[in-house]
Formats: sequence, structure tokens, C-alpha cells
Amino acid sequence: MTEALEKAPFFLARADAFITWAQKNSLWPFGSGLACCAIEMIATAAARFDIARFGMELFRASPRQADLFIVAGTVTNKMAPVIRRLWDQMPDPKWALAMGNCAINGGPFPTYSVLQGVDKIIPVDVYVAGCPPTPQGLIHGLMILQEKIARSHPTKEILNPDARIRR
Amino acid sequence: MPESAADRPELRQAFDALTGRFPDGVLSGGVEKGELSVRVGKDALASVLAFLKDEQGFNAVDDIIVLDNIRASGEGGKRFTVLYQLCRFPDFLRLRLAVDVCETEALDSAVPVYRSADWAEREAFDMFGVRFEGHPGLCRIYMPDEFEGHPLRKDFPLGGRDVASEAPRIYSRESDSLQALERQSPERGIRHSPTDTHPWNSAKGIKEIDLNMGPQHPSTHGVLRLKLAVDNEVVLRVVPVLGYLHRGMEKLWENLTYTQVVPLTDRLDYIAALSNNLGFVLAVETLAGIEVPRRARYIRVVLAELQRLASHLAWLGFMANDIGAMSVLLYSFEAREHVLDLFEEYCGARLTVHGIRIGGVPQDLDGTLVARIRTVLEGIPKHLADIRALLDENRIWKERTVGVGLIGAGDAVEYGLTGPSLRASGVPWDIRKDIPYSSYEEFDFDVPLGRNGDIYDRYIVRLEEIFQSIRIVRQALDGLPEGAISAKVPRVLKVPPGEVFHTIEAPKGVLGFYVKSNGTDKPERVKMKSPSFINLQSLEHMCKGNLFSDVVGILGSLDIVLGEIDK
Amino acid sequence: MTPFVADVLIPVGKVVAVILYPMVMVVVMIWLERRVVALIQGRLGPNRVGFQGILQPVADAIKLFFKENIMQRQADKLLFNISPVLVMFSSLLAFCFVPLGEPIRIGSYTLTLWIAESPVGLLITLGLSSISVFGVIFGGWASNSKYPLMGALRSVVQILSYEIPIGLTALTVVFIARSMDLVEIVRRQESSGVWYGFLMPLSFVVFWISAVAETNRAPFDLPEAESELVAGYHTEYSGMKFAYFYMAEYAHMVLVSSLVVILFFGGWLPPFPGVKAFAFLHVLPGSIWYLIKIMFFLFLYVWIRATFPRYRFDSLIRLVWKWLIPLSLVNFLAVALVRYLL
Repeated sequence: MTEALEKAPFFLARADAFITWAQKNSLWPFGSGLACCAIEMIATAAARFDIARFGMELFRASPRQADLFIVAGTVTNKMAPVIRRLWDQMPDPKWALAMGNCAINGGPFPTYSVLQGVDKIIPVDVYVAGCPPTPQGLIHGLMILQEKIARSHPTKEILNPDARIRR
Repeated sequence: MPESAADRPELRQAFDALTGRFPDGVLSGGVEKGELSVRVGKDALASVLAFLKDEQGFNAVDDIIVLDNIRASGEGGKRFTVLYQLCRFPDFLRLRLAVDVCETEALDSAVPVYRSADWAEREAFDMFGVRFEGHPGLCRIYMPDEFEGHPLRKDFPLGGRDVASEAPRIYSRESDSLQALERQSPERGIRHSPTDTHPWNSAKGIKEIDLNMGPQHPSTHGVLRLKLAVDNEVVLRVVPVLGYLHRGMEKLWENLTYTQVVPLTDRLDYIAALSNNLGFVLAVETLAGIEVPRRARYIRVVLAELQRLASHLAWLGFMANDIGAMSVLLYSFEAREHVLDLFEEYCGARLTVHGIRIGGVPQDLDGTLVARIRTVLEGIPKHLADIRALLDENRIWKERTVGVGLIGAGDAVEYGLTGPSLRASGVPWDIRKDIPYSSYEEFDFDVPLGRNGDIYDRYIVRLEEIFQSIRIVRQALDGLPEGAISAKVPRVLKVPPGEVFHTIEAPKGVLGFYVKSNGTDKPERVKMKSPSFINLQSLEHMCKGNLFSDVVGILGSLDIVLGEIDK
Repeated sequence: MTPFVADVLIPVGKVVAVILYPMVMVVVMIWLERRVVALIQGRLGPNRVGFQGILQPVADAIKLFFKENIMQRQADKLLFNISPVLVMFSSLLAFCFVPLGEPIRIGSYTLTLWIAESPVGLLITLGLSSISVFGVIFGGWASNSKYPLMGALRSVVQILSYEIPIGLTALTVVFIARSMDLVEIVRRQESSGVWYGFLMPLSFVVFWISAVAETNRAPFDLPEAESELVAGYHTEYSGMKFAYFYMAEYAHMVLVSSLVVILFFGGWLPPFPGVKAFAFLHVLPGSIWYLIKIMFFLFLYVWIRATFPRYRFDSLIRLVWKWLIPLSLVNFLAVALVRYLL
């Protein structure tokens, strides 16, 4: 059946659009609030900036129910295994957003205990720069992530789960 | 001459009493810049500390600072100087004891005398390798247990060494070793890592479960890990594990100029960034002898009190959210947004503000900004009235906060608790009143005190402090003097050699900065005495005997910030 | 009315309607909760996905459908898989005997909006909705992890304790109506001209509080409290299984609201059913009144959630055993005495 489906690109494209529409409008963040950026993340979910308009106010506490890993703050070497484990516990499809300069490449801390960028341990989809980024910046990053999800092809992964496809 | 540095006769009295009692132990000492520093011999340390506590009344250890004299040790001197900052309440005498010790020697631990020195000694051991004999559980506090080396030593590179023990241990999906560890003794529940050397065991029955809260946990306000021993929901022991946000700030500061250090202090207590700026800047100005103009001092007071307002509003939201009243988080953050707007208009940043610089402030408060501040101040009480209507007399709220997390006044001072948590236990200790800085003595405000020291009292004390802050800001705006907004500070600030320990009343407690300069433009050593670090030590005392669900509420009421605990 | 239509099409139609009704209500409830909680908190809530965000729950459901299905190695497979099904199943099955509205007259045929009417309908409904406890305890146990187990244990104790006041207060209604049949109870309220909620306000209040606790909703939502136990008994569930837990909670809320309306607020009767002066209220069909009342109670659920802090577990249990159960016992005896004397 999968062979027959692969010969019907129009159907697959429609299915892609449908699935990505649902995925991008229902991103449930797993707020890994580590440091200062966590406060701005909470401010983004608060009344003035209101992430809930995009459907993202359900910050799940358990990684098993979340899709988006927002790494907000400095990742230290001691915390890195925990971050990796949480990322592994999240079910596919999942995305990661590195919020703040510390998560992007260590920020203002080139020291012995800080991991210089969370993309050394997890694959990051969107980088939001700032120290801390303003809530408007974070929302912009989330909207860019939504566009990225809209361009992805989940049907390829469903039909061929063994091939590692770059989204 | 900065305000708080006046030679007080009590300092000389204390020094004379000390030299009279320990003629051989005391090697040298003197009063400088309003601080008493005494050098004692290593062997006399324990008895000196006991004498100071029992007979001279120095109730708490503010901080333990270690200096690495690597050059001196090369020339035959001792490698480390360990400084003990002691404080006497109620007359606020400060005393700094200095002890020299080399790498192979061990010092007597101060913990039998001063309970609040527990974690400070662990930090000294972790960062420098100074051993303390008699400490109830000397192990690393920030760095992981398997880390080799001591980061704050002068011969340890800033970027770390490229060795395996420093790389993060990333467990892969197939790693069974963690599960194997956890299957070792099923009758004791899930075990913790075997490298955990802190004494964990007293008399453990079979019914107990070891629980681990965090480091990833929605309610621990950051990456704090709590290990709990629970017996049917009743908490027996609480051991916090720190270091998940240790960024090596103190080492970084030794490589930056004084002006470059100031923006980094924002990231310590990130909810109240301006108070960290103020704390460090005041210490440097005391050391460098910079006189800050009066207008700048008033503007600093306005900013600091606005920041206290914002910090308490954030705390209120977080604590209410933990106890389940989610809407209060939204309401308090809405009120906080107005204050953050003011900061953004003042100097461009909402959170990590950097609005206080060495010598003064960067911008002036012009008429429109003053008017906007006044408008915001009028709106805050209305927001608070809404929140108080929801919570103050609410039966569920009272049931979860009254009588929970008790700490008495004596215990609070013993543990070194400071800030609103201490004042909620009835101890009237507020640095703004007792050792005023930055013109606080010219303002008229009250210091709210609690009675029982439970969560409800801490809640009420902080709410009242918000009103007092509004009062102070109004007075400062009304009486804003004319003048310059900054002293003339050279572009590359070289501070003459010396050391100072300066404290301020941050929203979380007493924030202290110890700065030692060696005449260059970079500090020799900066040590921060973080209020949340010391306050967290009393968590176990407050949680014992309460239920597991209360731990979250008690932690919230303590108002800790991991950025400041882990530095 | 051919036999085929009467015996096959209509019953099948009813079954489909009774399965769809809670599902549609769940979708509406999810959207309603998020918007209402947001508006109470001073923000907007989901308003981009579809008109005013009405498609948000649809997007959530589809996303959960396409999530990876994770199960741990140590988990007990059968129990892990069956618990979401049990929770969902019990909530939906209990709708069998619950009427969805007033019977509709089509010519000479009366279309009854329930699958079946039983003389012990109330008892069966309460019993069926209690099967969800098994789902909760299986879910917590099968996850083989500490936090879900603690959450499940707390939840089970809570649900079992709060069943007692629910039963006792429902029994007071049974006393007055002299029947356990849900449809009959509504008819009795029509004939006696007063809603039982006004006759026995204490019963209503105790029933409502216990019902909120039954459905694990704030302020009694400790078992799934985010800030304390990560996510309680459904911590380890992902994807569609989690969606089942999520939807089953709302379906249970709808069921409980329907029961409250039937027992205490006259079902599909307009206010003041016996009073001639208010006869103009009958212009609205009974089913619309029924829907309005159910929506009011669902709104009440959301309102309470947005306002109150959470009860701690021991206060929760103390509340039921020291206050609600004695109160409902006293109430029960009082109603029985009054019934006997009158």
C-alpha cells in the first residue's frame, strides 16, 4: 500500500498540509526554564504577550506529552545529561528551540562549566537570539518555527520510518 | 566618603576583647573603611569563633571567602587565605577573620559553632580545595562529584581543561547502567547515585521512599534538585543538590574589568537585576573612594525600589501558581509588565537591566518618565487589591499557608536567614534601616514584620513591602535634587589595592559583595554572598514534619533564584 | 413507520448520537475552557486556529494522533494499554441511560432521546462511571514509575471517598421522586412544579462539590497537579493514549453536569415549570433549556478552576470524611423523615 501511496503525490501533499497544519497549531512546549530566559518565556505566556493565541499555552510538565523543547537559559555541563535525557524522552515528532544567547553558543559565559551551545547535544530547529530575547522576539521565533513545520513532510516519515529524512 | 563607612567605637572594643583573650592567636588586625579585619592563626580558629559567638554575640557567618595567593605560596607563604565574614545583630558590627592555610593543611570547621557556615565551607572546598575538619559532610556543592580539580584556583584555566572528567556525561538511550544502579536495592526504593557522599542515612525504615524533585521540575523556580526522604507523604529529610546552573561567574569576573563585570551581575538574581548591579557598584565605589552625587543616589533608590516591586510581584505569581491559584500568576505578571515598561523606557532592557553603573546612573529621569512612574505606582495597588481579595481570606489558601513551614526567630538567625523570610519570623533586620546606603536614611518607610514565620507571614510581609516601596519611590521622586547623575569615573577604572565587603538589602535578602583589588583594572577576587544560597539552607528545617505537597509551597515562600545560588 | 426504521435505523441512530454527543461536547469544552480561563486571566486564549479558535481542539487531537507511541520496557504492557481505554470507555458507556433532551414528537411518533430507559438508571450510570477508577489505578501502576504511582494512589483515594456523598445526596432525590429512573425524575419535577435543587439546596451543594472532586478538577486536582507531581498518573503517556485521558476527563465532566441538571435542575424543564405566568418560557424547546443548563455547569467548572488554589491532599480527605459525609448523612435522614411524615 505504501508503494501505491508514494505514486500519488497530490494526495501526499494534501495529507502533509493537513498534518502540518495540526502540528504547527498545536505545539505544546516543554518549558525547560533554566535561567533568566525562563522569566521572559513565562512573560510570553502571560497576559500581555499571550502565547495562548497560537495554542501554545499548555506548557506540559512531562516531556512525554510535549512537542517543542524550548531551552531557555544556560546549559551547564552538569545539566547537559538531564537535557539530553529529557530530549530523548520526548516522542517524535519533536522540535527544539534554543532561546537566548546561552543556549545558542554559551552566551556571555565562556567558562569551564558552561556548555557552549545546546546544539552540541540536541538538534536545534530555531535559534532565538537575545540576552534575554524579548517576548516579541520569542514569538517571532515560534512563528518561524511554525513556518518551518509547514514546510516539512511528515508523510515521508510515516511511510518510510527507517529512512532518516531531514525535515 | 561613602555613607556606611564610619569608624565605630564598638569595632575597637571588639578588637581589644579579642586580642585580650587570644594574645597569641591574633596575629594582626585593624579597622579600615569601617570594617574590622583580624588575622588569626590556624590553631586558634575554633576557639576564636566560639568566643566570638558565645561571648561577643556575633550571631551569624555572612560568608566564607577564600583567596588564592599563588604568588605568595611560591615565595614560601601559605597558599590560601580563608576569610570569615561575621556579623553581629542587632548593632550590625562586621568582623572579618583571616586565616592562612596551605594546600595540605585542614582548617577546623565552623559548622559546630555557626550552622550557617555549612554550605559556604562546602563551596570553599569545591572551588579551592580547602579542607575543613569536623564538617558534617564535606563534599562538592557546585561541580559534579566526579570533577577533578578546583576551578577558582588561579592556575585553573577559565575555559576549563580538555579532559574527560569535565565533559558532560550524556547517557544514550541504550544505557542500562542507570537502570542497573536503580535496581540495586529494590526494598529501599529508587536509589541515588552511589557517588553521593553527603550523609543521607539516619535510621531508615522500610516504609520510606527516596524521592527526587528536579532538576527539571515545573515548580522549583529553576534547576534545583531536591532529594527528599518521605514517609507516607511526611517529609523526613530534604537535601538540595546545587550546581546545575553554576556558570563560573566569579572566575569570569577575575578576567574582566570592573565596568565589564557590572552587566554580568544582572544575570545573578535575574528577577531583580538592578539590585545586583547596585550591590557590586557600591562595593567598588567604596573601595575606589568614588563619591556618588546626590541626584544619582536618589535615582538609584527609585530604580532599586521599583525593582523590588517587580521582584515581589514575580515571586507572588510563582508562589500562587505553585499552590494552584493560576490566575494570580497572570495578574501579578500583568502588574509587573507595567514596571518593566518603565525600565525599558529608562535604559532599554526589561529584564537584565544594567541600569546602575559605577559612579552613578547612565540616564537622567526627565519629566515624562517621572510622570509615567507616578502613573504606574497608582495602578499597582489596584492590581494588588484584586489579588489580595482572591487570596488573603481564602480558606484554601490559608489552610495551605498558615502554620506551614514554620521557623522561629532564634532558628532563623542561626541559619543565617535574611530578608523578608527573616522579618516574617519577627526579626527586624533590614539593611536599609540599619546600615543605610545610597541615601536610604533620608527616606521615611516602615519595615513590615511577621509573627510566626510561616508561609502566610512571608506572603503578607512581602505584600506590605510592595506598599513601602511605593512610598519610598514617591518620596524620592518628590525630593529629587538637582545635580549630576554620575561621578567622573575614568574610562579604564584602576582601583587602588584593598578589600571591602559591602551589603545591601536586595529583595531576596542581604546581598553582599566582597571585592579585593590589586591596583589593576581587573579585580583580584570578587565573591558574592548570595541571600538565596544561605536561605536555602533553612529549607530542611522548615519542611521537616510537613507533607510533601507543602515542600513546593515552602520553597516558593522562601523566594530563591537559582542564578544567584549557583553563581 | 416501517419496522426497519423503527427497530434498526432509529436505535442505531441513537447509539451514534449518544457516542457523538459527548465527543462534540468535549471539543466544545476544551475550547471553552481555554478561552474562558484566558479571559478570566486577562488574556485572549486560542483565537487563531479557525474562527475564534474553534478548531484548536481539532488541531490538538490530530497532532496527538500523529505522535509517536512510546512505551517503556519496564511497563506492564496490558495494563498500560488498557487504562486509557477503560477511562474513556466508562465515561462514554455511562451515557447510555442519560437522556440528551426532551422527547420529540414527530407526527404520531415520539422520538425519545435516550438509548434506553431503566427503572434503576441512576444506579447504573453512577456505577458505570466508577469504572474509570480502574483506568486510573492501572495507568499509575503500569507506568512503573514513582510519580505516576503516587498520583494514581491519591486519585483513587479521592474518587472512592467522594463517591459516598454523591450516592447519599442522589438518594435524597430518589426519595422525593420515588424512582431511580432518570427520565421519571425529570417528569416528577415537572409534575411537582419545582426543581429539586430548590427543594433540597444542601443536597445540591454537597453533590456538586463531590462531583467536582470526582472528576479530578480544581480545586481537587492534586493527582494531576502540574506543580507537584509532574503530571500525575498520566505522566508516562504520550500521543493518542494521552488524548484518551485528556478527553475522558472532559467527557466525565459532561456526564456529571448532565446528572446534576437532571437530578436537581429539572432536566429539560424551563424555570418555574408549574407556574402559569411563566408558560411563555416553553417557547424554547426543552432540549435547548437542557443544553443551556449543562453549559452553565460546565462554565462553573471552568470558573472555579481559574479562581481557587488547590487543596492539599490531606485537607481534601479531611473535607470529605469530616464534613461532606456527615452532612450528607444528616441531610439524608432529614429528607427521609420529611418524606415519611408527609
